Amino acid sequence: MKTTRLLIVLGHILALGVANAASSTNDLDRGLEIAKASDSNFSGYGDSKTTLKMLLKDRKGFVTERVMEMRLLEIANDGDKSLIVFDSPRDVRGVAVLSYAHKVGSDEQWLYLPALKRVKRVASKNRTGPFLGSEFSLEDLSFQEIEKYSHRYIKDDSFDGDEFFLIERVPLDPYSGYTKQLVWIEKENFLIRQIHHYDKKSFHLKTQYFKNYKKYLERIWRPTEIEMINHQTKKTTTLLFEQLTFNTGLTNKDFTQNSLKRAK
Amino acid sequence: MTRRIKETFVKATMLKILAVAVVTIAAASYAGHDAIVFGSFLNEQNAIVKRQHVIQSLELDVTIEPVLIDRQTWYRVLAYHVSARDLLVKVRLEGFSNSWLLLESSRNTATAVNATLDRERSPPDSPVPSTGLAKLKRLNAGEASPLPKGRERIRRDDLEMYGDISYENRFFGKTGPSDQDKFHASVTFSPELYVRLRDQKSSFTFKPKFRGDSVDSRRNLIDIQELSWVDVKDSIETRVGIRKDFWGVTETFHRVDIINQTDLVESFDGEDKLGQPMINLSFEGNWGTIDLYALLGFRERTFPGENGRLRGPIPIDLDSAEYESGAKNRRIDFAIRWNQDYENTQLALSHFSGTSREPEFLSVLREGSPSLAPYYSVIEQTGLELLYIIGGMAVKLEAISRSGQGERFSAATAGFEYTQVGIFDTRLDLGWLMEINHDDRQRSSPIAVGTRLTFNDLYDSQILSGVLWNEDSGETNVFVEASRRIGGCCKLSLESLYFNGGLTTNGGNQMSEYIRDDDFVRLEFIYFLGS
Repeated sequence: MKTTRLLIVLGHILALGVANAASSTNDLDRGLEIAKASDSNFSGYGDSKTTLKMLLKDRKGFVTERVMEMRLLEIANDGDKSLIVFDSPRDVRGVAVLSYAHKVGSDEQWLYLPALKRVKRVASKNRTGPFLGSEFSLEDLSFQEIEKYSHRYIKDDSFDGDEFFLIERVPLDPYSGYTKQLVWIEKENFLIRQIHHYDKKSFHLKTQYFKNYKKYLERIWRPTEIEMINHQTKKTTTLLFEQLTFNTGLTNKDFTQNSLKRAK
Repeated sequence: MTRRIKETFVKATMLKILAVAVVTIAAASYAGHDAIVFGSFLNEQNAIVKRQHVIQSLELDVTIEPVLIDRQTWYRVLAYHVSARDLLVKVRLEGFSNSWLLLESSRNTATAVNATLDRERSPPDSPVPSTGLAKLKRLNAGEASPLPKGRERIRRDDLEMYGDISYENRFFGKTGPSDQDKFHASVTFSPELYVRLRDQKSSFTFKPKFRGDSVDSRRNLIDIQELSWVDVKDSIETRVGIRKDFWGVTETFHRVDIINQTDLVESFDGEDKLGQPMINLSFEGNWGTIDLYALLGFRERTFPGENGRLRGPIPIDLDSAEYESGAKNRRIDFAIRWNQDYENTQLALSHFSGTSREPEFLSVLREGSPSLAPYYSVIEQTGLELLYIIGGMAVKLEAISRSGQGERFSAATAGFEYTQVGIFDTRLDLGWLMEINHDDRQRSSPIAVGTRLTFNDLYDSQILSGVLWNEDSGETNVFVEASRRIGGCCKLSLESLYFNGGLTTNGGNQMSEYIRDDDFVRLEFIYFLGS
């Protein structure tokens, strides 16, 4: 019995050796492997609610605040569902966005305009522009499903006393706003700590920092702060996640067009 | 670099072999190690099945430990390992993607303090582990939240009050054909009270609207936009009271939308509506959404008075409104609508049976002078809404077939909307809109072309502009609408409409001839109340 196990393990080692022979393929595999490990920090959360504060800072340091409530639901074998309801500024209070992310194919998105009582289906390609005047696009804010990128391991890296894997991520969606992203993943817990976004002209447009990770349910890591710096406009947007809770009892029924209408 | 990773793996695998041996020999010696947790179960049998599954797939030595969490015993399936952390990646890649690391250092404290637990991985009656998250049993929020009790749920205030006050000026280029003023001012106040009841499952809203106008007394208004109660139970939503609801997909003309009466004096484009008393049941399922409406009573359309602008030559005599129905404005109308979203398509079918929101006009003599009285027929209207998304473009169609006003007729609006994101390498988005409007009752099909420029700035600035062109009559209407937020409290919006009556000899209609001199600019300042 023991001998069989040993043989199987040896087989694994041999197989790894063979894989290593083809270096570039291996970098791709390795990249995917790291991405998957990182992704599993986010998956398995079930559902969550959070108040999201968006601080928009222009190049002179003037700050504008936006507040919204975000509800998320994890969907087995597909992208997650999200519902964002705006609370301020006051003129957009009650405006809400419902999104169904899909691992394959385009995402679905609806916008609710409370003044007109109208639910409007939105072409989901329009996700690359600035979201509400911030430095985030809807693409930056939506779920970054592994299946939507090709991954390549670049190298190990270290800064600020932490060890990182550096992987390159190329969006497979032709409508993505980026040509590539460099992602620094902390080795200890596979947490994404920094992303460099390269625009369509392969210009390093934005840098995204993930700060103050907290652990929930003993295994789900979430940053409590995400900062996006636009190197072109010199503007910065900071997202603060407040009162993040899991297992709030949300179900599919809370992510329908009817729930979008009553979301305020 | 790859070599180093290879080494790590080899080392991990070696350690795995070692660990298996060590654990097999001395089961108690792992106490100082981290562990990989594969799942926790309330049902011990499920834990045993999970353990078997892990052993078969991973060649790891797996144990089951009872853990007391919140006065319940959970059976935790886990494997202690000297290099659990290194192994975790591999384990996750082997299909146990929800496994997690239980640190030796945090084992005692974390369990006790956070009272944290995994979800049960399969229902108690089925011993087969399920991977579908949707099938997982949900736990109460209180059991699993890492936050202290009382902050577990995001709870907004149960009662909210807000609203807005707006001041509006309309400047007309010329004095009206009936000598109406060039300058009109009005103030609108619409507060809103919102109460959320019973754990967010039902709510109450009260939203009146008051408007006063300096020139046209017909623009003075007291309306209840909303006074309604909404209750959600399972997949059924019950909405009772005065409400507004919108049907449709197009932008320039709304063919299908029929629940609410148009407040024509508020804005010439007909986008503003009056509250409608109703009982509305809404059912949601995999098959889409079905809405049933009983519309209790009827609201007359508003029309400008003698001193008002943007009207026909003869003012509408609201006091002489006539109805086909003997119940007049007390008739109960019915409506039903089904809508469903598919991957790239949105489809809706609807039927309305009741008093038409759109009146015909009867010539009457009132105190010796000619006047027009609105006549509201009882109609049957079937509607279709279709929206199809191709890449960044939305293709739209709205069509109706209506009987009850003379011969049965059809009307349709079809077009597309497309947005160019980040034009000229800026943050600006430019949206394009084109819609063609057909109506059996009219000789030609006006075409609307519009653009929406979104600045994506801090102030949500945008400019919507467009042309409505009637080929047959040569009439051209040009409109510009712009808005911008000011500070955190306010918003400024500007609307401008320019009429070009075209060749009147070629069938320009009387209405548009009369409003040829009603070109205007409307400036509105809105102050938002509430926190």
